[in-house]
Amino acid sequence: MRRWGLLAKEALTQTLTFARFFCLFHVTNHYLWSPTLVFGPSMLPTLNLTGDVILAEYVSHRVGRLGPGDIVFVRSPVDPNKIVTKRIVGVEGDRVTYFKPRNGDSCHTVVVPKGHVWIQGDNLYASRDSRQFGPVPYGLIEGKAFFRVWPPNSFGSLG
Amino acid sequence: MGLKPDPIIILTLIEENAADSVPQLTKPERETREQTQGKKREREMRRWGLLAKEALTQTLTFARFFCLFHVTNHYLWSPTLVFGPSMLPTLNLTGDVILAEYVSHRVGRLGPGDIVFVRSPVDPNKIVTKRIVGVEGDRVTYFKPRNGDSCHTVVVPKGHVWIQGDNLYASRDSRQFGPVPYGLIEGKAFFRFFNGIQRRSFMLVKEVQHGLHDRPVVCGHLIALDHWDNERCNSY
Repeated sequence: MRRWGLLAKEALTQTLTFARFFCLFHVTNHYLWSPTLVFGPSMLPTLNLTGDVILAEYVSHRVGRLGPGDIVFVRSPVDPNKIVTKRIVGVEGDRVTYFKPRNGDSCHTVVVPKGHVWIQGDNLYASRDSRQFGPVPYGLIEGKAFFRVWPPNSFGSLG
Repeated sequence: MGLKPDPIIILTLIEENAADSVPQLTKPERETREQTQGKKREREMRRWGLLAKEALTQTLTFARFFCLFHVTNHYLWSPTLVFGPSMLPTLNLTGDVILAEYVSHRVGRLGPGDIVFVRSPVDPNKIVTKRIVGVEGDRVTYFKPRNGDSCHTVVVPKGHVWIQGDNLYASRDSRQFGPVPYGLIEGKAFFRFFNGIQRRSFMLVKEVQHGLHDRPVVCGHLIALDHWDNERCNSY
C-alpha cells in the first residue's frame, strides 16, 4: 500500500511540475510573445504564400499602441475560430478610401467608427478584409507581428 | 525551503570564536587572524548568495501560483462584479458578484437566453454584461424605447450575435451598435453568489433564462424571435 502511496505522490509531483511549466509557457505565449505560422495569399508580397514563422507580441494592443501600418492578428468577424493577418489601414476617426478590384473602378470612402479599425491585406486582389466585412472592433485584435523568423532569407523585422 | 546548515560555516564560526579569545598576537597568530578575516568575508558572500537564492525561490513560487491562478481565471471560471441598470431586474443596480465561466464560448455552446460578458465594440477597454437574443441566422425584432413605437427587424449575420440588456429602457446594446462579432464574447454568467437582500436571487438567473415563454408577450415590451407565436403579439 505504501508503494502505491509513493507512486501516487510521485505522479502528483510530476503532474504539478508539468502544470507549472505549462502555466508559465502559456502566460508567456498569451501576454508577451510567441512564434506563429502564417500562410495565404492575402499579404503578398510582405508575407509568403506558403508560410512564414512570425514572432507575434501581445503587449501593444493592450496598451493601445497600434496604428496604421501595423500588421496585426485579428479574430475574424465572420468566423470566430479563425485568426487572420492583415494590416491596419485606419483607426477610429480616420477617413479610408478603398476600392474592390472585382467590382469595377468605383472608390468608396468611409469614416472608421469609434472603437473600430479598418484592416486590409497587402494583396488587394486576393484578400477578404474590411472591404468585405466592414470595420472591425478593436477588441478583436489579438496581437501584432513584429519580426519574421522563417524562412531564413527573409529573417528580420517587419516594418 | 529549509536551508541545510553549512558545515563550513559552523567550522568558521568556531575558528573565529577561538581567534577572538587570544589577547596578544605573535606572528603565526597574526597570520591565523588574517586567514580568519578572509574566511569571514567568504562567509558573508556566501550568506548573500544564500539570501539571493532564497529570494529567487520565493519569487518562483509566487510566479507559479500566479500562473495557476491566472489560467484558472481566464480559461475556467472566475468571480466577477457587475453593476449598472441595463440588466434589471435580473441583476442588481448596485452590484452583484457573479461566477463567469470561460468554457462555453470557446466550444460554441452559447445560445439565446445566455447572459454573457462582451467586450464593447465602441470601447475596447470596457466589458458589458448582456443577454444573447439571437445568434447568426436568426431574425430579431426590436424597438428603441425613445425612438417612437416602430419595430425593426434584422437578420443576424454570420459570425455575429445580437445582444440586449434585460432593461430595454436603460441599456446600450445591439440596438445601438448593431450585431456583435462572436469573437468579442469573453465569458458566460451562470451563477450568482448569495445576495442577502434578495433571498431567491440565486434562482433568478436560471428562471429568467428558461422562463421567457411564461411571461406575457407584449409587442413593444419584449423581443420576438422569428419562431415565436406571432398571433399572441398581434392580439395585444
